[in-house]
Amino acid sequence: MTQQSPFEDIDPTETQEWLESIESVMRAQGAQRAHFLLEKLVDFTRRSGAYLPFKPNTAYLNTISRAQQPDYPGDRSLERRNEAYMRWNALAMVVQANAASSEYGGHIASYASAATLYEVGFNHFWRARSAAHPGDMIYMQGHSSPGIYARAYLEGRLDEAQLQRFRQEVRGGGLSSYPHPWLMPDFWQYPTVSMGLGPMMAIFQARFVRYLENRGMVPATDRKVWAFLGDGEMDEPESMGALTMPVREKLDNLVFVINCNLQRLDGPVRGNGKIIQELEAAFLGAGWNVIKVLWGSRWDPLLERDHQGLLKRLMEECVDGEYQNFKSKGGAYTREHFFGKYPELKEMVANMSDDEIWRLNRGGHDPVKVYAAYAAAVANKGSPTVILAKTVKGFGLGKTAEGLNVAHQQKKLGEEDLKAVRDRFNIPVSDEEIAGLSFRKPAPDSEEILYLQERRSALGGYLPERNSAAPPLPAPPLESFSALLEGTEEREISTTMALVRILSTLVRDKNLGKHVVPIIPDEARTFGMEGMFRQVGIYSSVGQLYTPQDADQLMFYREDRQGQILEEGINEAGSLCSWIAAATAYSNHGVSMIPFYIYYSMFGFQRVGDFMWAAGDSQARGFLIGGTAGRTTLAGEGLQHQDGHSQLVMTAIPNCVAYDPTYAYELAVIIQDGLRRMYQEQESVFYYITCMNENYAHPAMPSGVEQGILRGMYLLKSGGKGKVRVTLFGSGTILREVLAAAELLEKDYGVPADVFSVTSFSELRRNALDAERWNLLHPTEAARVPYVREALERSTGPFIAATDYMKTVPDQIRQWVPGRYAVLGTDGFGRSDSRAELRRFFEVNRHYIVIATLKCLADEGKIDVRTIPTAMKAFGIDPEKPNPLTV
Amino acid sequence: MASTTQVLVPDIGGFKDVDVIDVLVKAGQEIDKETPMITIETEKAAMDVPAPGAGRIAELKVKKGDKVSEGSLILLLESTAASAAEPDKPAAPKDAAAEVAAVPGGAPAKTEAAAAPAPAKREKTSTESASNDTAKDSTRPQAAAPEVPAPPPAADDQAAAAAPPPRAAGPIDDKAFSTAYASPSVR
Repeated sequence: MTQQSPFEDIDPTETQEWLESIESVMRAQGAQRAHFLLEKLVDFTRRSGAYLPFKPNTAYLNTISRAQQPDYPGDRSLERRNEAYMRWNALAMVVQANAASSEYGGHIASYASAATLYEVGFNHFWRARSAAHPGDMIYMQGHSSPGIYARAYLEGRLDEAQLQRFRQEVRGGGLSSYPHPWLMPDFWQYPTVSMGLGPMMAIFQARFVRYLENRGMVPATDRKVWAFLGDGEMDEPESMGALTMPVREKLDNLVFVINCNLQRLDGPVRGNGKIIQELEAAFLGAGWNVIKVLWGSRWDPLLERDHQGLLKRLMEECVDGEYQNFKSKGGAYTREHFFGKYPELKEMVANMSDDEIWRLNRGGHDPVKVYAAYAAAVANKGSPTVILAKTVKGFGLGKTAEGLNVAHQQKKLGEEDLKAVRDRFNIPVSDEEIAGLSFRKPAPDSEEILYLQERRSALGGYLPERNSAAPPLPAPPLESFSALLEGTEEREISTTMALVRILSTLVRDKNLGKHVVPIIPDEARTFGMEGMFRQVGIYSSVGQLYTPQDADQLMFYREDRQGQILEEGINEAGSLCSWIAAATAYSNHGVSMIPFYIYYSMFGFQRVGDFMWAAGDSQARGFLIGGTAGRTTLAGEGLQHQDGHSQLVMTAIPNCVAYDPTYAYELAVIIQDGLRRMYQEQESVFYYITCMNENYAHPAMPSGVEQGILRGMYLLKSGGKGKVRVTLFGSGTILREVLAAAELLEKDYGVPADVFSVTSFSELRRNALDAERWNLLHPTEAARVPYVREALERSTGPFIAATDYMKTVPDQIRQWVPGRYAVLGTDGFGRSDSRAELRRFFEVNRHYIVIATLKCLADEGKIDVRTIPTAMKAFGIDPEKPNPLTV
Repeated sequence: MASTTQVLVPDIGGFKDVDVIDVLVKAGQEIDKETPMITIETEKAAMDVPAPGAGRIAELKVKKGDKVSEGSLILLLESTAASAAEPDKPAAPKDAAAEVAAVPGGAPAKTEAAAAPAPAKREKTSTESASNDTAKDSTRPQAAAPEVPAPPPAADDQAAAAAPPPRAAGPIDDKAFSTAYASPSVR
């Protein structure tokens, strides 16, 4: 930035005149008029051709001046005492664990910098869920977890034994490293520790609150979503990636608190600049209400004496790297290198001791300043608020951590440092006890604890507390999808269309209909879902202010305040955040929602996998639909779109249940059972189902196959009589190639084939591994039989599997297949061509299935090996064709 | 007082001879406006066709497996006195087109103006231009953005430096002031 310094003034008298005139406008006609005139002046100057650089920054001062700040309502001395105990116990928790073994790890500097930011919220703002209020939703910063545990300990919710088991969870009663609802389901609500996920999830949660309110699913309240973030965390693209949506949606129920301790793991966040100013510019530019909390009350007298604006100027000139130094190097250094830059300022602090200078506090450590900011955030209307709080990393931790580059990794403190912390916060621990690092808390009937309890009870109870009680929703009977179970006769449809029919049926259901939340990342037309625009409407907080271009058509683009579809635009991460908000509504809103997020399967896990992992942690319940899936089925789109691995990667998430159905009835059975498991039985799993866009006729459901569909495989078609026979597996669209291959085998080669539809290789594997594990641990008892074995009991090998996914997918069940097993799959980069060409290229078409079968039979000596070259010639297969993996 | 109207397949976006894959209503059934009547299926999408108005189904004219196009007759709807008497608001697209003699099911903005009570509608029969014209005609208050209030005539580029005209002294509105302070375009 090579702008002219705002501090160089070629004509101060003229400047003064302008300032006075605008001051008189403010006095006479108010600030709005002043604003109007200034805008006019800027506009006039621009229109006259002058270049006025855009500068979305305010002075490096607190947004709320001392004159504007409200009185502090709490008892600061009791709050300070309690906060001191929390600081001590948080520290003791980490240091104790690491004294036992350094492998436990943990962080002490983050909470040390954020303690006051949390305590002001806990004591004065955050309401718990109670009969009177649904509760505020607090996304705590993951690395601050020891402090949150320390508070729960003072509240009497956690005991000493639990604190001693911080990061030692395996034998029970331990505390998880970070907020993990999966591990502490009654405590943590939101998994935030993977940097950048918290802010985005909070934004979409705040919008989802409005969605539920506008649709009348929950009463409208003033509940807020607070997200605690770190300044280093804001470098994650996800953190800043969705800033404009909450402005557009006027989400004044959203508050970001960014703990700007100026440090990230390795060093300063912006050593050569100012992270707070950078963030302010971005948030102001997006339209947020920005509140800076930079300087504590001890600075107020100095700032009030700063008539020449020199201190303000110096504050602005100083970069973060220097600010960090002032905190780590002490008062004398600060006097010399900060105030010393201007003789007038050095003079200003001449009467202050070095210690007093060092104690000039930052805003984020001053409850009065923090309270003022929170009160302003809560009162703000029409826009989201971000509070930029300046703090010190490792505040109060002494010479080994405070303001040091290594602070984040600091897990061990020496005795001298511990004494310093004790003295600084006045913790009643004797010199003898200090090495033992015992936890400390005042008696339950002490003034401190009574105050702490009174504050929480006034705010409705304790936080965080995860509640998973929501009324169950009865799953509709399978018959309600009869249209899909009956088959399509000659009509050819895709499973994507079948899905849309299921969705349309569901939204009409009297019990479930209004709970369904279709979520789309601008791909509704891709998936043939445009009919639903009209049927249930697209959610819009302002309704529809225009006549849609296609208003005269059946499927017009209907936006509505009560619209049910969340149309997120080209935004997979945001869509997934909406899905998580809906999929955890049972816990956060006491009402179960049934989200269906339908997306290009390729842009699922490999694009937003970390959010999906967090969804699993959150115990999300809902459906993820990988649309137009399959490497050779989404024919023309080519390398970046053709998905041949989502069926593999999704099952890395332990509570994700994945299916790759072929027929409409399979899809109906899977979704009906998913509804039963997740909403009727309230099991914390979620579903990943791939759907394809290839049109073909769907048969009626054979009788008695429901359980097989759900468990992962069932016999779809038995081959004719014959001594030499084989068993084929297929899933998704490739099952149809398998059926065609079976026909060829029987007709042209006299080899009858039984064909299994395998709806889920991963479910088969999970079931088999579980049975084996049980057998391992119970060697003397009757062994459990994996379902694969059971299903293949009467089948004859060899076995040949083909899918539109990587070979690893069918390979998952290899060890339980009772015989020779060959797998075909689509390993390699996709490319554009017709489905037939692609299936030939990837060697998964009927001809390759036949060849693979004949090879297995020849290897077993059941047919003459010379049959194979002949067959290859007949099919036009070039034996020298390159491996698709390599081209 | 019951009058019978023909409910037709609306504009389905150029598709012809599409399958009726489900019939969701029965003859004799009382239905509301927006009740799904049939499900049709094109090559890529299945969609429900909602009822254009309330009434009792006098006669169903399609069955599962039929092929229909825009203008095909779906059913005869006997409008009850109450529903027939209720005029639709002309402006909102989703409300238009309920009680004309032959109604394309669900097509919201197209009107056969002769029978329509909606006063603001222009008579047009060509589908394409009708939609455009309707868009223009249905001006709504939200759409008409008020002009920015004109600045006082005295304001020219030198005016701000001059002393403002004397007015009754008003206190500074802190709330508005904070907005002014934060406005990026000022700075």
